[in-house]
Amino acid sequence: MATQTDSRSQIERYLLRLRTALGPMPDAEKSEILSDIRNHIEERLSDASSGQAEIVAETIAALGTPEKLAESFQRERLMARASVSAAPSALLHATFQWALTGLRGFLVFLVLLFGYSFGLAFLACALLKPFFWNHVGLWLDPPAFSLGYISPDWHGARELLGWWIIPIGYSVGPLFLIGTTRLVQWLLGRRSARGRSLA
Amino acid sequence: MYMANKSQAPNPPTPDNWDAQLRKGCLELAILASLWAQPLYGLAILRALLSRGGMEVAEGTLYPILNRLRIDGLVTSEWQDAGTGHPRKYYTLTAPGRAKAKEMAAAWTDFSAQMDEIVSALRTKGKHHGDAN
Repeated sequence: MATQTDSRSQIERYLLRLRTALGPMPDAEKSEILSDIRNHIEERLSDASSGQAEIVAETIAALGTPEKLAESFQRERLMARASVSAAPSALLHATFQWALTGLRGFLVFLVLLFGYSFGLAFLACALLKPFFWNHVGLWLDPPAFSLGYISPDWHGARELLGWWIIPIGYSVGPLFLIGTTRLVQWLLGRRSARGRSLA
Repeated sequence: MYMANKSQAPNPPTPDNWDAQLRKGCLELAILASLWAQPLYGLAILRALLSRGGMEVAEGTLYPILNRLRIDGLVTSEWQDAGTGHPRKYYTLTAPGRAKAKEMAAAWTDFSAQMDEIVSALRTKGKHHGDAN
């Protein structure tokens, strides 16, 4: 019984030191890491044939000192900053997960959606203009602007760019797509580095 | 002081150290590959790597990498009641995680083929350049 209590207090001491060593990190992420490590030790214990004290000591030794383990977590989080993928699907997934955690994430998700939508709309206009020349373009129907295809029945709108939509669309479209990607990558990287919230 | 430092030769990596660095570099791909067929929890990932590839991974190395993969959106995690008295956290590859695993596997295949070609010179029978006499 005494041994069991000793093992438990050894686990708690280890986790307490780990919590301290993790340093500045959001509480949610810290708790997640601590529960991962606690669970790992529990898993080893439930699986063990030898004495509890031995298993706890072995597992803690295999994990390394709390300070060293915390350092590994911090190093990997910094790597996450550098390896934010540029793939639209990865960015959409990461920002959507972020949006679920709060207003900041929601705003970044909106920036991504608007940036990609504008970029694709400019490209689509440039591509479709030769085929639907009198329906595709940038339109002004005061006080609203409209980019894209308008119905043949809509006579109130005035086209602003004419054929210029083709070179402008082919240059502004990719700029929107690349600029949005870079901006969101940077924001995701900052978030990973500072750990403002957990995906 | 500068001259003194400059004149010191850097310590060459020992073969053991090189081996450890090589394994560490491949670990992310190995973890993603272990999750390819089904979601696994931490200890099961360690066991899968050991049983399938003989790769022994330090327990303190796995969880920081899993945490990074989660931040990067390559895996998701979910606590499940395994009926063992404590929950297990299962890791699953996301769509970007599967794409990344495929991309890394292709890069690994190319790289290992190139290295095989390069080191094949070590396997050929014949005289070493320095063994002429």
